[in-house]
Amino acid sequence: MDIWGDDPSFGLKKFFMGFPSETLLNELRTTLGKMEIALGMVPSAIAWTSSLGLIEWCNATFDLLVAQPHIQNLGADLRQVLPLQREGRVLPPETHPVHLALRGEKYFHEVYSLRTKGKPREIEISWTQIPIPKQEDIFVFLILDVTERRKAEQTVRQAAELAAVNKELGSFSYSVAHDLRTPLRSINGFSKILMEDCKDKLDDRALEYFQSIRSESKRMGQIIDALLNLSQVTRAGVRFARVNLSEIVQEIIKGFRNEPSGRQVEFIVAPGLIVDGDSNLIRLVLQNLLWNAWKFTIKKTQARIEFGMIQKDGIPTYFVKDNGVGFDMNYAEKLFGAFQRLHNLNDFPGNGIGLATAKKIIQRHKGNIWAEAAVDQGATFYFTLGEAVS
Amino acid sequence: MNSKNIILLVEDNPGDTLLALRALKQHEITHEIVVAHDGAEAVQYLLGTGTFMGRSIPLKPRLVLLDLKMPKIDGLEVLRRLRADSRTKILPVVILSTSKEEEDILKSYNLGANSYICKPIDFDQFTKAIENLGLYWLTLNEFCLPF
Repeated sequence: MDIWGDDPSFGLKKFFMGFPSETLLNELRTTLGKMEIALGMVPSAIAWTSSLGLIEWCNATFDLLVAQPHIQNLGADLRQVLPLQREGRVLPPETHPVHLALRGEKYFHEVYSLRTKGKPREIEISWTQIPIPKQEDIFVFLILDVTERRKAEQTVRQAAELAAVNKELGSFSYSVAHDLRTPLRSINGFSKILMEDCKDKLDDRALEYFQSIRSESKRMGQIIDALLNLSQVTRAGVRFARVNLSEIVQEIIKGFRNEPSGRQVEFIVAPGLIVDGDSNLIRLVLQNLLWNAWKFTIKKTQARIEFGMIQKDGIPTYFVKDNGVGFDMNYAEKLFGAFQRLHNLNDFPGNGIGLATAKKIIQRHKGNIWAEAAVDQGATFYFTLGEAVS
Repeated sequence: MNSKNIILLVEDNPGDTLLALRALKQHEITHEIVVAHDGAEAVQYLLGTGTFMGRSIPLKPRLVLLDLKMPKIDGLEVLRRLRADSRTKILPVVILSTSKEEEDILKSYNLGANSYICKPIDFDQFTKAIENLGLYWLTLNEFCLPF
């Protein structure tokens, strides 16, 4: 709309016929002011430039994005106000999106890294060329900050990748376990067959060696099973429900008593200890702790194993206590690592994975597990569930 | 040949095959034991296709001992095909696998396995398992041909 007119006489005519009144001008100013405020509130940064790329106007979002005062942005070259990088490299001037826009090219959805004095941002730029009659075209640029969106996308992508890796790891340990067990069965089986079929040709020493091969292959089988358990504990989800610890302990103890060991062991079990947790996983923890207590009291004539609960800093702390051989507290931190053993295999058999598995399970319940012991003074294993005690 | 006297052992691992044969023989199981070395061979034998094509009625074994992890056609696929065919729908199939994975056990039962035995590594336990298995499926359990 040509308000003032090129022709002075025509403009003058208009002045008399209806020059915009003061009221109308005020109204226009107010509207423009409102629009400027409104445009400053949109999440996109908006700027328009001359055909040379000099900023004629920009909104408040734009000033925030480029971390520069409004007054400095006005009249500045948009290419310089937006220093861009792609894939870690500074964008050459001829591929700068502002340059492409001024050349009349269409925008494409590309993400650029914006490197101003402010925080590094990831942005997308789109634009429109607006023809103005009898004047040079102006260019309106719309800049969208996609940093947070990209971060969220990356998190989702990483989670998906992690799930895929976990799944792969699962099938990997599954096939390893399978592929290792089969040859072990052959080693064990054919040793036995040789012992039977070639009995006449083998002396006692040879038979003993074959027996060693058999028992060791069997032990390796147990280690593979325990490792598989450990990896399953790490991957499987925790299914929370009410778990009666006292009942589980009683069941495990019953299993010990059914074994023909001929041992006299005094068991003390506190009744009615109930927690929230995954019943199968917690059973595995208690099995490991009680089995250790059972194992390490084997040389005691009056073995005593106790399960109970105490309050430590107001947090229910469960314990399995025995009066067995104990251990040197200097090695306490080694206890919960996989394949760590503090005792000779001949004295106390084990695969060195039980406590590592127990720790994984307790961690998955957001609890803590630790031990207190002294050589020949017995050992006490404590654990918490839900709240970690330092 | 009386089909009541055949046990089909489906096993690809030569070591496991020999051990299973030995364990079976040790317990005076007098049945003839036919070995299929992979799933494809088992399907051919039982459903009378491929090498066994043209045989009027395939000889149905009294019991199938089926390994799961095998090349070409795996145990679960063999089981699926047997259960889909009216001639082998009710054939007793015992899974004899190295796997203890819950998923494998569940899939086997869902496909209609009659029993699932995890092969122990220790040969004494292995022969014990075969003995119990033979005792149950060949002696205690009543057998019936599909038609």
